[in-house]
Amino acid sequence: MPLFRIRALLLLLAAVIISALAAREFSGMRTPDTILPAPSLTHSGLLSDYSPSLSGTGADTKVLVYEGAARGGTFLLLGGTHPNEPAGFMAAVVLAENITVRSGRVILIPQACESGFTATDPLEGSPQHFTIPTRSGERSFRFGGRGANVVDQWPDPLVYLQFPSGQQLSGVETRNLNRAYPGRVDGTLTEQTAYAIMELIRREAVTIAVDLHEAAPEIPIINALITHEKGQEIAAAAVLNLEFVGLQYALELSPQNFRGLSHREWGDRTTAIPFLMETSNPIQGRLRGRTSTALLLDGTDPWYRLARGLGRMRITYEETGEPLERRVGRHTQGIIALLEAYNEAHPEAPCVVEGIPTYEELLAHGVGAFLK
Amino acid sequence: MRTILVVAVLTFLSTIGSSRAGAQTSPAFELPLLITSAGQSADVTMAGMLCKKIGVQAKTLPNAKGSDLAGVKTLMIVPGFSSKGLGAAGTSRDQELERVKGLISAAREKKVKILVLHLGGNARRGPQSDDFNRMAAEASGRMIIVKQGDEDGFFSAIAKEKSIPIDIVDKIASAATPLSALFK
Amino acid sequence: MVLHWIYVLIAVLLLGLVVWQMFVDKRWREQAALAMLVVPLLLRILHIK
Repeated sequence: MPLFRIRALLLLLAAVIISALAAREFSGMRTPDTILPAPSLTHSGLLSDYSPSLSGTGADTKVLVYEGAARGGTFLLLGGTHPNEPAGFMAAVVLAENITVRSGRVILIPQACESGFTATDPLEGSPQHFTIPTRSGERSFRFGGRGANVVDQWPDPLVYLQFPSGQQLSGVETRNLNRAYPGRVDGTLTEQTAYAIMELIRREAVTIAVDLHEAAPEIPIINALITHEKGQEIAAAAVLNLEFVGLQYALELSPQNFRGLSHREWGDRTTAIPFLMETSNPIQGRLRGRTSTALLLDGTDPWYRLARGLGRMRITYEETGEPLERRVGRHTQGIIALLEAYNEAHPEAPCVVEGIPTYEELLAHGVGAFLK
Repeated sequence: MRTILVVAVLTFLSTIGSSRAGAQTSPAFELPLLITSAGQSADVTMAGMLCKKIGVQAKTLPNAKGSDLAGVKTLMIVPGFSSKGLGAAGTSRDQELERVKGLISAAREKKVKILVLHLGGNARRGPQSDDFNRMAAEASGRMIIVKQGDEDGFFSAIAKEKSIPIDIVDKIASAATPLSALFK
Repeated sequence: MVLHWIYVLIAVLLLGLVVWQMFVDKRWREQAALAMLVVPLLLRILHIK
């Protein structure tokens, strides 16, 4: 055999070996995260229970239900709509492992976009996992991409036509769950996921629903509570409640002409009152330096510190950084405030939940103290 | 019971967190009160809730125009830019600036007193918001400002320049006391 | 769904062309570059990445 053909064979073998090694790394992200629900869990299921088309797909995900002894309102919490926003997902996990419901029901979907947890976004240099020290040792969780795994939903169109509004967005947004509502049963995998969540809201008669997110420090809507017009008074009361514990939140109204988002479509198409909360996440930022698990967990970055010091642009970044416990704490305190405000406005059907760690508790003890 | 507790805490907090600047006697502010936004931030909802909590009757119209001032004695402007708010209102930043300009002009014509309430802190400052902040502040007869929104002295400087009485309060809840006092 | 499998077929054809070219081209730099192309194509066809 000529030398160049032998060389080709050897190079092909090397490529296959590299592919196998890479495949092992990438496939590692398909192992689901372990969530250890509190003893008060009533039952758990899957999102496909609400839309069988999701069954067996990469988008099917856990649904955890906690019921109180007394009847009351139903609170739905979504974490992990964007798997590269860990505070949202971890806040949902913290609730899952700690709460007791006295009246009403709590439904948790800790990883709403399960498919997105199986791959990171290209060109970001993101870690695939992060670990949190807990009482029982280190626990590992996945850090995913913004949207569904491209392997589960391929190809992306050049332009995404949002259903049913027809709104045109960048093609990559076709895998963004928070642009896919209300979804459709025979749509893309992301649209099917959105449809299933809408079905859950309708069938379970959800009264208050919260979607947890994070964003880059330079994004204008940070440390914010976004509300559908149905929830304006509850949101305003919650912002006042949060002030009492020293937390400032910007109150934002959901734009009526920006379709596909949870706080718009849940509110328009169901009886649920929807809210969305955002915290500041340096690992998503464009100004960041080295991308690492340290940045994800500690939230300290020298370039954001420099930008803050220069004062030439608006960024939401504390001098001491934006550690995960602060971001998770903002979310849990926000949930406490929203539930208090909701219960005050709806005393006939309260949703009373105990065991949600406060902002101060998370700052003092860290996220790991509230994980099993 | 909880409402009484909240009002009691609001009153207590406001006594430990406010400072006053401006040498002029404050003009009387009378009802009816109309609350509007300048920049379409949702802070206008907070202002409405605050008035409700302290028992000050008010009508909230985020997109108020001159024609809405019929019978109104006091116009409360809650400035702060929000892109989501503008989107929700279906208007552009330039259109919003025109609306606020026209509203202030109509208020002057009808001798409606203007009160500015800035609740959004840092989030409602900066190049996008400050056009609205300045327009409202300079037209006002009184300002109540949450201190995080005046860390650089933006509102204090306008108050000093135009001799407008100003209350700087620690938090949104602390605005209740000066607000309540203005309508007594 | 049909479009998905059309794209997979395109990737298979592309992989075939790349491997064929590796055994036709005598220049080692080009062979190495083609070998690098094999990795993402293979991972996508196998629905791994």
